[in-house]
Amino acid sequence: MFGYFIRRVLAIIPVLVVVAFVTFAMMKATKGGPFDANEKLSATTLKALNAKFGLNKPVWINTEGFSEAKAESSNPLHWVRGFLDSQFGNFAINALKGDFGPTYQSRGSETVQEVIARRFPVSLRLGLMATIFALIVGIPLGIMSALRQNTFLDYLSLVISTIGISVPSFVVGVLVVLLLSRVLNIKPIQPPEAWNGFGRAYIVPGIVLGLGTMAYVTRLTRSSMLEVKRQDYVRTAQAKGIASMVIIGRHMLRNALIPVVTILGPALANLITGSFIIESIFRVNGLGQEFVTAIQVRDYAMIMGTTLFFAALIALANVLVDLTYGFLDPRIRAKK
Amino acid sequence: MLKRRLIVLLALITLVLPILAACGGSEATSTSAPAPTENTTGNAAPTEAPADTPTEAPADTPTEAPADTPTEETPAGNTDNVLVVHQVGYPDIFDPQKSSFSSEIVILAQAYEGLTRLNENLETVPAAAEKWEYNADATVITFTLRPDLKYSDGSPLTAANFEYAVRRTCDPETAGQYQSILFDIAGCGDLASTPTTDTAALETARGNVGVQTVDDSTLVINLAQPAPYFHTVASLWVMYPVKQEIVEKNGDNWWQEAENHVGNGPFKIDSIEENQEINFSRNDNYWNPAKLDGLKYIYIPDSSVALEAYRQGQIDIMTIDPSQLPAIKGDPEMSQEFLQYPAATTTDLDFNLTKAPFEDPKVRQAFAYAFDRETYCEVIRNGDCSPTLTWIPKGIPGYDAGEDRYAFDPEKAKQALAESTYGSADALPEITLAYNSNDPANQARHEFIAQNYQDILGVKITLEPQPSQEFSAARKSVETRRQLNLGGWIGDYPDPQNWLSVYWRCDAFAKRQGYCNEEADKLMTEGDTSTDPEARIKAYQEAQKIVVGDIPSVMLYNPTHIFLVKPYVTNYSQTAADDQWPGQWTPTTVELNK
Amino acid sequence: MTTTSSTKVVPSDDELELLSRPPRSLWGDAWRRLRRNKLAMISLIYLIILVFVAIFAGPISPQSPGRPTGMELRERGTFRQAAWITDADPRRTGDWRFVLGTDSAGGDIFSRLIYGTRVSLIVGFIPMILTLLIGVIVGLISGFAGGWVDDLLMRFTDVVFALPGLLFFIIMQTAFGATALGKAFNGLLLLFITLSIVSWASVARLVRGQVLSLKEKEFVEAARAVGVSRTAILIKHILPNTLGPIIVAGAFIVPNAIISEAVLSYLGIGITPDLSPNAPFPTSWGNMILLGQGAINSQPWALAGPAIALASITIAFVALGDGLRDALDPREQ
Repeated sequence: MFGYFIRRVLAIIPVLVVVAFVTFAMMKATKGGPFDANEKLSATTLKALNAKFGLNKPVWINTEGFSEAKAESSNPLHWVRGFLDSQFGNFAINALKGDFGPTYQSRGSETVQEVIARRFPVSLRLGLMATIFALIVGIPLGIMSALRQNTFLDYLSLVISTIGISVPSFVVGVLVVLLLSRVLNIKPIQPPEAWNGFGRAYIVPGIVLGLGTMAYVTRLTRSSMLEVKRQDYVRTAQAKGIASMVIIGRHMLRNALIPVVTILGPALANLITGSFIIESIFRVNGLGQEFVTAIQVRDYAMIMGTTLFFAALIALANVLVDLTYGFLDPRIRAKK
Repeated sequence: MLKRRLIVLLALITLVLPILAACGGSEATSTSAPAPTENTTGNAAPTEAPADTPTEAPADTPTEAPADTPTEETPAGNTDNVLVVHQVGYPDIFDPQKSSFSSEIVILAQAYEGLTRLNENLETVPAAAEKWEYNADATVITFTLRPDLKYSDGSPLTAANFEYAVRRTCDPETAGQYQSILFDIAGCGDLASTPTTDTAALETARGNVGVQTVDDSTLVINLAQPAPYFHTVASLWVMYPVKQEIVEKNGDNWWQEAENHVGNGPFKIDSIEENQEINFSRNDNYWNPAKLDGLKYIYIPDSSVALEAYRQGQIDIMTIDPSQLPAIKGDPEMSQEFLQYPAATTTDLDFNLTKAPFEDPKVRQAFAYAFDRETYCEVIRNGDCSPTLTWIPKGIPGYDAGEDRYAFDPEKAKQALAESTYGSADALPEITLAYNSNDPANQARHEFIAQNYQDILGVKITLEPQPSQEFSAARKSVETRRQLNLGGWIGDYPDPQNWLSVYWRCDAFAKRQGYCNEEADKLMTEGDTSTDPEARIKAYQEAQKIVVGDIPSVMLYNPTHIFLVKPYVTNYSQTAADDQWPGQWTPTTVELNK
Repeated sequence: MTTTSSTKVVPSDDELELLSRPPRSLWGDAWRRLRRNKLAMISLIYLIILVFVAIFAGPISPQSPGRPTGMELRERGTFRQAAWITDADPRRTGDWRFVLGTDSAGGDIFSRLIYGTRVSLIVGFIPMILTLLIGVIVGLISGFAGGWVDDLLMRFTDVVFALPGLLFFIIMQTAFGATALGKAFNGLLLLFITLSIVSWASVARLVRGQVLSLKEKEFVEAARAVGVSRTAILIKHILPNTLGPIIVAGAFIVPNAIISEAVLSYLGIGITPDLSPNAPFPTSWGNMILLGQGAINSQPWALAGPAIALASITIAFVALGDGLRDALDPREQ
């Protein structure tokens, strides 16, 4: 088991390498650069900025740097360094040291890892709130729906969960703010301190953020509960007269949760990296905006940093999912 | 300066939308400012605020009366003598020598002050400097500082601090995006273009920058060429005197900590909460103390949330999104608190003169005559702009009130198209109108523009939405620029030099449209270098006549600033440069009467 | 518990009937069961009606869905309220010619809503088919083959999960935007194909998870023991048992595609407007929701109209999906 875990964690590395290459290539292929937002920028300043951020170097490999290093030094390591004195090479070398470089948006005054470190805790809290909401509402709603299939309760659950997925969060978010303000007189603007700790301020945005996942969890739980409901072992258990709550808990739910757990991995990673829309409506100082803004403004360092961070989260979440399969169904575990 | 306004929900669109000053105001840019054609003059006394809507209430607007019930004050609510101002997008950086967007400058302008400043009529008046003097041919300017100037921490402020600001701006290691605005200073451009790797050249170039501190209260600046407008440039944020010790001790991100902002402006920064709020309190060491005890900027990217916060009394001044205008004008209470006045911005429809069919002046004429500006401003933009036929906006020196060529006239438009080398709409090549798709409101506006030309000229126009960064990148050269796009200019400082020479000279932004007129260039040079104020204006106006007559762009409209202001806020000025809030340039007079 | 039926020892009438009649096809059975599910049938009828609305959008729409100019625009007004609402401003008072009012450029919201149905129903199916196709194939192979095939495919899905979708959309736009593919359905075809390419990974993992569990089940062991080929086991025994989650995922794809279009438009990537008078796709619900959200204060119907339309179509898809799932469940009666 432990060996399997280690093997899987190590397998994240090639994933990150591929993601880094592909993202870098895509990024370079997009039109418009990081300094295009300012149309008044003079050619002189643009040149200085490109030099400052290393954008005057070749994109992938630096043959000129290689020849120079060869002429200057006899150390093959220097040659390699000269060869890799390119935009990607420098990024990769610094990234290995844990430095993702200065962000272009801050005109180079802070690094990518500083931004992530500052914002991630907020996103994490919000994402956990959303996930908890999705599970504690979604699973019971799904179970209820399955047990009372094609009754009013089933339809009610259908409507509740569908609201979560059929109305975009930028609509729900604004409506919730207006509703709370008009009906409960909860003012739309929270003081900055409200975001410290795991405060109440996270509840509403967390719920709105978790709506979509809640809907998905509900529907999947219902579907697999129905599947499991008529399996032989459930019938056997019922025939033996085992109390229904125990059947649901021990026998049905365990098997029924496989699809839920599957989507939960990526969903968790998505939720804890935040949603730019929820963040902007509720003024949450999270990471979600960085993901989107970085791409919009072509903040190359930030794009690479946030993408790799997200990739690592996703891959790790999927390792956990696979481990959970073993827990939910011992026969799967036996194979590992 | 560059303005940044985030669109509706998106805080994200940040850089993009910026109402970029430069050649650019894409439509997105003008997101914020709407203005009804009626009250055009700025500087109206705050009390007689515009509100061109009748007072009666619209029965069904979804908004009930704002809850004015005295609920407990939340920390975000306004207490005491502190003005709470809504801001849309949180800035990327507020470091005077590196900032470029209006959302950044509006912070700096409270905490710092240049040698000069703009008053409520946008005239350049003494600030840190009590006077200035040019030499005979306007190639040297000498500033004399006020006696006993102090920073907010009590330390003395001298000419050397301003010298540092100039040097820091010009330095390639700073590479501030607005450094070119100081290239009028001798040696500044050379220093900026020196590679940072070449230490020796860097030292020489640094020594050659034409700025020197003669004594604590005298600063002499040598200009690269005559620049009789330089005293106005000295009011800009790049000249704000940040303290060298603080910047050097705290490194590049010194600006993130409130206590590092030791400034010489009317307020000092007490706290900075990223994406949430920035709190200021009065700087008692400032030579002209403010009446407010403090100032608070609250960042709310979503306009509907902001409007709700305004209703709830959490903010005193709100920036309106144009889509909210009908609701606000229809609300009995808010229509009284609605404020609107023109902005120092001109939006135009830019042609690419190097691409068919717009190399033909007659086709351009047809397009100029065929634009229904009135309908566009009044209906499509809900009155948030006023049509114009000229370039420099009203209120800025050089405005040409008499310009009346190319007003909307469908008959003349059809006639011009018939007289063109193409002869008819069917003979025209495919025409593409590009726009910044990061502002959702842009789509409908451009659909109108295309439909308008189709209905009047019978021309079929293809719309091409482009994400903002791609849009602005494409507009930087005539090769990649599409045949048509909305553009314009947001003034950096109120001098015709900034409007004409910086934009329409052959080697300036005009190049990106493929426009060049030597004769106009000559007149602009005359305006730039003449020391006689009247002769300058005259030269610029003549140049403007030529440019507008050549129709490199169809002059369309001046957007307006639109705000909601609580009635207890008084004594604020209204200037065409108020990109963020009314009174932002003269905050010392603002009062709260609660 | 509602499972009483499953404990019956005596075959029910239905079962007896089944035994006494020649075996019917799986699909025939499924259809019979589906017909008995009222909610599913209502949903199906609703969707069929929408298909007709989509096809006959032209004759049904009371107004032209395009952009008016000049006098016509002034007459329509912008942000006009819905017909039954009166406003102090005569230009915004409701008018039955414009049932749901007008949008920010004087477009008739009701007519645009009708035209928007086309995109939702025609183009919305593309991501549904593509996503399911890729996802199911990858998931089946990965889960059933196991070993290095599984490892490789799953690491690949990790990569797909992790790539920044927005960047990918921009790239696809840049690469294909000017081609016939990029222009088809006003750019939405390309958009939805791209969406499928980035979103199949979730379906693949879902299917794989099911397969991992199913292939250890007794009936699979049994089939294997009697020498049924691997392909046959996969198709006949495993696939039908993974249909539950696949249908659930599939039902969410159409609404998700519509919302994605709205969110992407926010980010500057969306429908390319087409102004020709006979343009088949002048707008989409996603686009309308986006524009409506901006106008939420001035013209609530610009948002409410498309939002209700989207919610209703989602409920219909999900309910139909539930019905299908139940109908296809071999153990269901």
